[in-house]
Amino acid sequence: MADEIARCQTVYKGFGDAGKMILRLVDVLDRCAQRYGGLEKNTQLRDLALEEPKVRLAQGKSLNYGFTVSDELFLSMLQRAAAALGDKHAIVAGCLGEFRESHRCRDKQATGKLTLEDGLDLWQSMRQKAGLAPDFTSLLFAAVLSKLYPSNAHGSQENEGLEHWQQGFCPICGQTPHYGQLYSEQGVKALECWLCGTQWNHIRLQCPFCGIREHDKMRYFSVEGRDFCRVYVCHSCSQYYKVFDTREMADPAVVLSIHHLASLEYDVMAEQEGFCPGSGLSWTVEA
Amino acid sequence: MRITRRSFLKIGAATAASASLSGLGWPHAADASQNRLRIRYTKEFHTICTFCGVGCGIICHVRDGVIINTEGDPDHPINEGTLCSKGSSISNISYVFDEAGRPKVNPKRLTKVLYREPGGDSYQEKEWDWALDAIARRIKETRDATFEAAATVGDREVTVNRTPAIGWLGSAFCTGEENYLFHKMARAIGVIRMDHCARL
Repeated sequence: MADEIARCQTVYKGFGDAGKMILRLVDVLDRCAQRYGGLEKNTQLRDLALEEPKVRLAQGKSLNYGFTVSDELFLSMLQRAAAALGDKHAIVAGCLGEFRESHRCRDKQATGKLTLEDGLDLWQSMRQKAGLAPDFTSLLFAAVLSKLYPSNAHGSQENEGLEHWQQGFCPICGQTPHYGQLYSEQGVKALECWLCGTQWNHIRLQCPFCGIREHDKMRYFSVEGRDFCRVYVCHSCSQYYKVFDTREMADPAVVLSIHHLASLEYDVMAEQEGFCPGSGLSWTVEA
Repeated sequence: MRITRRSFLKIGAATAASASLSGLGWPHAADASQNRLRIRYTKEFHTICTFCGVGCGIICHVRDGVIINTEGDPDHPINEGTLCSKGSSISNISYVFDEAGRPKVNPKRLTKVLYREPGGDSYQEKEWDWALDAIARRIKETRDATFEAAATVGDREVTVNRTPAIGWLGSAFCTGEENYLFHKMARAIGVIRMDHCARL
């Protein structure tokens, strides 16, 4: 990751300080996970679907894996990540305190566990809080939720069905993508899930969100002189996603999540052009 | 950039809230909101390569009405993103380029019928009706003069209905459907010598 950040600092203008902050954030989350005994003991997948994974994927249904984690670990990670990100942690602490109380009221059996859905709900409610810009909460929750998502969420058995998956949402966790890449000499488009990191191929000229394939409804924009990052916009559903053209890169090992964080200005421009992120991760600075 | 009152307010709001990530070292808010970067929209279109009958899929990138790039379509079942040397250079058939490298429509592109009579040393402009009549008349005359209804094969006579005096060239720059119609037309009038320039 440090290598990729160093590379992005040469590709993207002004990414120097932000790159250091990402390293600090990753370090804080790692140490927090270790303090609670590691993530392997705390996370578990939701029940498997009734159908065989291969059958389910062939039907175009996501396996829809989530996680269950102790509420202390989850809330502690959010709190520490917020502190690592700067002086807004006091507002975050207040939000987390409110959430902890309301969750314990709901948690009748006192399991002390939180699910992925609980995390997404908390994110949704924190978006409304004054003083927290959407880009701040997006970074905070994307970092924590993706850290908590088990890296072994899908085994080799499920991988068998992934090669034919071409839907506009993640085959593993069901989230909609925020970015992707063009790779290989043939220029194949792969989308990547911001939550679990799964990559899957998708049709080049199709909107992943509304599925439309009409040429006149889709365009992409790039910044003059910087064609490496493209923002694909759909005039049918008014949503966008970013695509990094990695075909010209000497080293094919690209960490897309770092490139995404290094190119947030494209997200701001896309929203100024009147498009919403199809993933739901807003990166504007306006609340 | 002309700043209207509405856009001025928008920039102001962005700056006020920028204590979020932009205050922590992310340059995106300042770059995108205040120093508006120059963005360029591009459209992508599917098309089929016109060079031969294989029918490879191509994605055309069009910006401001000008084709700026073409590449193989990775989702096309025939070529799966690959292109031959001719298909790779297909973007060059649309334009010629000036000294600064800007594409423009070829000023020497034929837009009228030009006719040079036998023995003549210059071209004359003609109407399409005249040209089509002349072509039809000459095909008819040549066909009638050289038409063979039957030929002897071994010890028996077979019907051939052909003219050996006319040759017909298809075009790699026509669509597959157009070339199909050319072929049907040539067969219908008895042409047996047909060819096409798609030779890789």
